[in-house]
Amino acid sequence: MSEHTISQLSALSGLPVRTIRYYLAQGLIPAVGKEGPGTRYPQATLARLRLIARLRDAHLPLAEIRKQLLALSDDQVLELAGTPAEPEPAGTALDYVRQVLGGSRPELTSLQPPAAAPALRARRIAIPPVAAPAPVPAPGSVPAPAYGAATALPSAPAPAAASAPAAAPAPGPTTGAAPAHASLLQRVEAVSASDAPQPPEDASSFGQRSQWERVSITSDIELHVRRPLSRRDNRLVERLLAFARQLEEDQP
Amino acid sequence: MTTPILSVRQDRRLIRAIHHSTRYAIVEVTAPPALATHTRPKVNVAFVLDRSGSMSGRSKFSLAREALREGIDRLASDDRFAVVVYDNVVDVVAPGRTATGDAKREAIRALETIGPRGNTDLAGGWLRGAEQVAQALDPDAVNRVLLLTDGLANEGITDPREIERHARELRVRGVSTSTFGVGEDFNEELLGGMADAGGGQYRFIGQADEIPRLIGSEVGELLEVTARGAELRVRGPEGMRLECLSPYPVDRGSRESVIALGDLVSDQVVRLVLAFGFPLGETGRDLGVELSVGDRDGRLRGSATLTWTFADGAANDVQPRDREVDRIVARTYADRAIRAAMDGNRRGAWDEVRHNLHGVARRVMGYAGDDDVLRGIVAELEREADAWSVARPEVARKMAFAQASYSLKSRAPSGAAMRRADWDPNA
Repeated sequence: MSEHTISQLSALSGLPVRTIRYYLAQGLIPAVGKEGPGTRYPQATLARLRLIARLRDAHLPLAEIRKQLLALSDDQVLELAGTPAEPEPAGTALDYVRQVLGGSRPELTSLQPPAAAPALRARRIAIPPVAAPAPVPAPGSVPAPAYGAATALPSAPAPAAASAPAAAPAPGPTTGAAPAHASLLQRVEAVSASDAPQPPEDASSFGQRSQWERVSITSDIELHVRRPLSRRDNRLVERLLAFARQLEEDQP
Repeated sequence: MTTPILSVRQDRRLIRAIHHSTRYAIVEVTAPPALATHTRPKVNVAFVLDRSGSMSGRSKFSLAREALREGIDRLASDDRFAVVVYDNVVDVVAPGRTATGDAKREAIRALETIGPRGNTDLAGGWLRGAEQVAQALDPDAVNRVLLLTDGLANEGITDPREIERHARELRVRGVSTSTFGVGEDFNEELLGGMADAGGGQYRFIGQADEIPRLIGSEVGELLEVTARGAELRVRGPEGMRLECLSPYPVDRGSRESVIALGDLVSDQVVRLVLAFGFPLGETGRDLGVELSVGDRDGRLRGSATLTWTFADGAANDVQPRDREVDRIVARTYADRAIRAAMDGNRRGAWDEVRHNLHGVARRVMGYAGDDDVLRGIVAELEREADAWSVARPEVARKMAFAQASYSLKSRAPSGAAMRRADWDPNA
């Protein structure tokens, strides 16, 4: 793979051939020597087209897009257009199991509207030809309208995952230049995600917007907890729940 | 001749410009072989055993114990294992530790004092096992929980969808789940669902004396993993929809869909059926998707592209079809329908069962033409419609469910992984 004719670029990006030719003429994507039906373009060109499409969706003018894109190297473009910084699941497996065994059911008791689970991603893995993503804490992203079928997943990543599971080894060069361009996309993502729901908080991340959570003890008794909780408070809650359960069982 | 790691086929190349088309693709993923030069990944496993009253019948529990003893024996001293038993109370019989000779002996001794007892907190037992694995989660190991039960989840968390959700959450955090159902009284939808969401494998154990062999098969696979956390990524332009007809979990990101294939073993072949839905378009334009496979260790690498071209109705109607793809798609729909019919049969919903199976038969007939295999599938579905619209014994339902499940996940009738050497692409 990794090289495409102009009609393959069209097929994979969804942009008509004439639009791609226009971008070539405007210098938004680099030409590759003599243009002809058999001319092959590198993967980076496909990545640029995808980026252009995203930036256009966010109503950035073409002149602005060209300016930003021209400053990016092929590697940077591949990183940005590649797998977006999909969030690590909040918390480790151990955190998760302990939460469930402790009786709190994160998805069922959150006061937030019942959002679909945050876009859960297995650890990032190196898949050719695109390397794992730059560490861009995108504040939120909206799913592409139709790609991904009926259940559109509001993927609102948890910004900080202090106890994220050991991720795959970080990719090679996350260059100093990446943040500047990452912020462009961040702005774009922020604009399009302004009404995406916030995910349930990771209990071990501080400085996040807090929210109240209801934990059921019986059908008529609840414990109210403001998350995020410190580890100590989390343990206290678990013990309270275990004790409450015990008391309930002891009832005649 | 080397088998490519990833190969794809599509049923048809043309799509309709002014009607929304659906097209199918078959994707085959072949895991790399275990090489003498590579050490296998370490194993971090928890065995979770149901010890409730029903497990006492026909020495089920002692056979399970025997299976565990054999399984633990095969582990190397730097693998880890834990043993949890449960009925309405969960007991961590052997907390997670490395599989030294002493640890193994102590675990077996502890198990010997355990006999069957009360109700079943299946979720609790399983989660305790997951906790044992999670406490020593090793990003370079195969981290998995094996759950063996002959009963239901009737204490603690009992909602199957909730349990499956937990299985999924654990999978994305690095802990996979495989399940074993013994006898007639367990809930195969629950166990099958846990294994599918959990990235592991469900196995049906019809007779107690099969327990050691089938657990042994799973442990054998744990020790032969060559591609951990294998994934298929599909990426395409806006406006296209993707459905995976094979029962693997699909995580949909904003720009691509990721299909989790679980841990693959040496030379394993996995075949998936994908359905693509298309927007409208201009005649002559192409649409395409990129597919790529990977795993956590970078040993599974491959990519491919699928392209379709918009054309008018007439061209679409006469285009050639890849009959092999048609057969595999029909088989997949048939397996799904049979699997789904088991619940209807159990409830005595005869009309529903007949309607669903006949429906699939009709749809396959629509493209069967004179193809013998396709016509055979139609005939089979008609027979199944008759067979499952009358009362049947539970064991027959369990067997049909299991066989369909194995077939959908490219497993042999025994439940074992299919390897490159046994793979008959025309099966």
